[in-house]
Amino acid sequence: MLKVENLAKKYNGKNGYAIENISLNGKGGEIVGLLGHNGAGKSTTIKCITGMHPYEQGTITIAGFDLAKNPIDAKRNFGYVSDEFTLFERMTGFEFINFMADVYRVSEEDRKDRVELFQQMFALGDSIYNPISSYSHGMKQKISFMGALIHNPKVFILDEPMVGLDPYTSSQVKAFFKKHSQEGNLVIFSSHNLDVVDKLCDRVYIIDQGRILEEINIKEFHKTGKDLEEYFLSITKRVAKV
Amino acid sequence: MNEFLILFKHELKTQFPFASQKRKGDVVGTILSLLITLLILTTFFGLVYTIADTYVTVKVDKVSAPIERASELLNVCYFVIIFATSFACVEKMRSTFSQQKDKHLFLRLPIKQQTLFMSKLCTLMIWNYALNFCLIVPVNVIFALAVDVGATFWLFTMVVWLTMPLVAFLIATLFVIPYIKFMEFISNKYWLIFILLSVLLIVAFVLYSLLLGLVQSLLETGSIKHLFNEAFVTTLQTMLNVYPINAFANIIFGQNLFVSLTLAVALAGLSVLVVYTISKHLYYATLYKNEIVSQPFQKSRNYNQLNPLISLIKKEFVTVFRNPNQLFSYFAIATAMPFMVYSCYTLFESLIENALGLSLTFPLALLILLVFSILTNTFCATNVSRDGLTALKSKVFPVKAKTLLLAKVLFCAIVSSLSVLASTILLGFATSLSWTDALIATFVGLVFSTAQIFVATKMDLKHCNVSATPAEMEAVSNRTITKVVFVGLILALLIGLSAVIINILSNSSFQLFILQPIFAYVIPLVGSVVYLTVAVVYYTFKIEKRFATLVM
Repeated sequence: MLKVENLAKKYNGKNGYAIENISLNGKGGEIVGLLGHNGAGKSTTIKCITGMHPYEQGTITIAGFDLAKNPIDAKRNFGYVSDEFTLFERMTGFEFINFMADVYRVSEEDRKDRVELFQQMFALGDSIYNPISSYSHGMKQKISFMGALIHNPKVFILDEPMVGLDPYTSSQVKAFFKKHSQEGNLVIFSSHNLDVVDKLCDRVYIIDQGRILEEINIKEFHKTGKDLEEYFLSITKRVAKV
Repeated sequence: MNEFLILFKHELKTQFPFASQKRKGDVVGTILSLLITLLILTTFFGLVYTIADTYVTVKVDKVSAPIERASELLNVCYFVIIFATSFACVEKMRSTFSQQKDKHLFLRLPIKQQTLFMSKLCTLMIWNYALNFCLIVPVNVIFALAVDVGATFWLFTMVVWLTMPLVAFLIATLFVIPYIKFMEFISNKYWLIFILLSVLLIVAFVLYSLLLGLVQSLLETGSIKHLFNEAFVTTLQTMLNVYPINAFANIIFGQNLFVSLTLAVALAGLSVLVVYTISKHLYYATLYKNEIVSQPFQKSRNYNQLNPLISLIKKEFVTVFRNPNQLFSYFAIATAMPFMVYSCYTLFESLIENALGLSLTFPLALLILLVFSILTNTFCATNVSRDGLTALKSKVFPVKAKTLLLAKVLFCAIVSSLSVLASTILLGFATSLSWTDALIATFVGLVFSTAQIFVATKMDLKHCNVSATPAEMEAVSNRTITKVVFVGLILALLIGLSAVIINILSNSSFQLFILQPIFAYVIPLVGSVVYLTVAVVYYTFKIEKRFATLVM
């Protein structure tokens, strides 16, 4: 469903690569995590995968479409929630979702069903008719989710998705991730929240200083009896000093 | 560092971003911006000098008293300065005390609210003094050139600069709370904002054209030479007798010095007291209040599916219409444009007819139409940058970059075309312009303004920085706008003036074969089509690549 090979990205005006030799993959039915410290390269990787950032080397294939050669088909197959809530703030939540549905060419019936489902799931109520500029952080996060999911994407990509969500919505989102992956889709998200990654993901890629250090199969890892936090800190050479 | 100094430094950086901002590239844009600013200032201050120079020579009862005349005129200038700076201060106070988002950040920090308030108030004062310095000093220099002044003139200039800005501040303070309440009331009544702004703009322009009409009739009758006569001076003196703040101009020329100085200092002291009390109240009242919370719109359950391009155009409309600044910059100006074109046309038509004995209907209508369409379309030079980070987010959409940008171009083209069309219809109905000429002018106007939109959008795409701060973005946008206006004006003048010249020469006694009247139509038609072709080529050149490299 998602295949990234030897991805490298350099920012303008910087000498070194922000990310280098990034290779990862995700299959339908999986939840994959990108784990790393702040500035490790998670967001850059995700921004390259979504086409937001141009990249110097490597190939990205989404649902069988090469992002560089066939960007429109590749983009049609994923939904993306960014870590910054860059939304069209002058629109109402409802207008925004309809706009996203138009952009992804979602039929009227499908968008109606999904909006009703999401409204229930995210408990936004009538505030969906308010301008996004009046929303709280959490509400903006929820409307971002709804906009990204309106076309029922095969690949759901999220950058730090749990930040700012209340406990109820957070549990709803986690349940949705599981349901979405069980339907044969891929969910891939970046996080530095070890607990969420540990409980939710099937596989995890640990990223540090722009490179993938290790790929971990969570079920296999649990069998070793090791603690994910301790292991993560030891391989990224940042043991907590108290 | 002292807590106050830290906050004060932060405020200074916020209010005067250009002082700490690094300037990158775009030398052409910077030079053009400076040239245009210089041109505007020279014209304005040149006009003030001409008026001052003429007015000081007026004799009352056959006695020449240049100092008295200068004092009277300076009073008028100071009145305008106080009025303009009070208006600017109201908006600045609103943004500083009730809208700046940093207060939410500072509230969490162990900082005294009083210190925070004082840092904002002091910065606001400095801003006000800087603004007044830029107005008072050049005006006084003009008066020093018009009449003989001594060393005390410059000393009193400094006294006036220190005291007069406080009066503007006092007036602004009295109006700021009702102004904030009014802004809250209309915050999401976008149609009301649109109507209000359009009406204000039209009224302002109509008044301006009436003034120009008056100047025109004075020029035509030659009475402009005698405008500043004894009767005029007497009327002005009567008005100044009831004007309460004439102390400042009196100080400058040493008239009633003691009384005037006492009054000015007392007024300044009172101003400080009132400004401090009211702005403190205002600041604390808004400290814990979030920005204006919009009321919910009508619940729409319309799930109609639209084509992505149509939906993108609709999004442009919604985002621009619901932003009062952008609504003014585009919709209100586009709405007012037909009235502006009509006013200018009628004014210049009779002026040229009376001065040169020529009837230049088509070329004149065309020239005015092109110039105003350029001014209206300056907004398009923010087509990409005004989206900020959402421009970057739209790269994720399964839509080609050229479609995303085309939606912006089409949105602008719709607004601009309606404006051009309304302008020519108004000219067709209300002036001597024939319908055939109006039709040709419409075609040229539409082609020309569409070309301008293509050029403006591409220039913005080339220079925009989506992650810039609003102040940086404004600076970059201003440079892009200047370049777009400059290119547009040169081409409009080339097209419009060529039609004017051909029209004059083809109707004159030295008729040449090459200057048949038909060329007054052919050249604008061909010129505008060539401009559109070049604009489209410039716009499409590497557009996908340009958009792909748009990063934070």
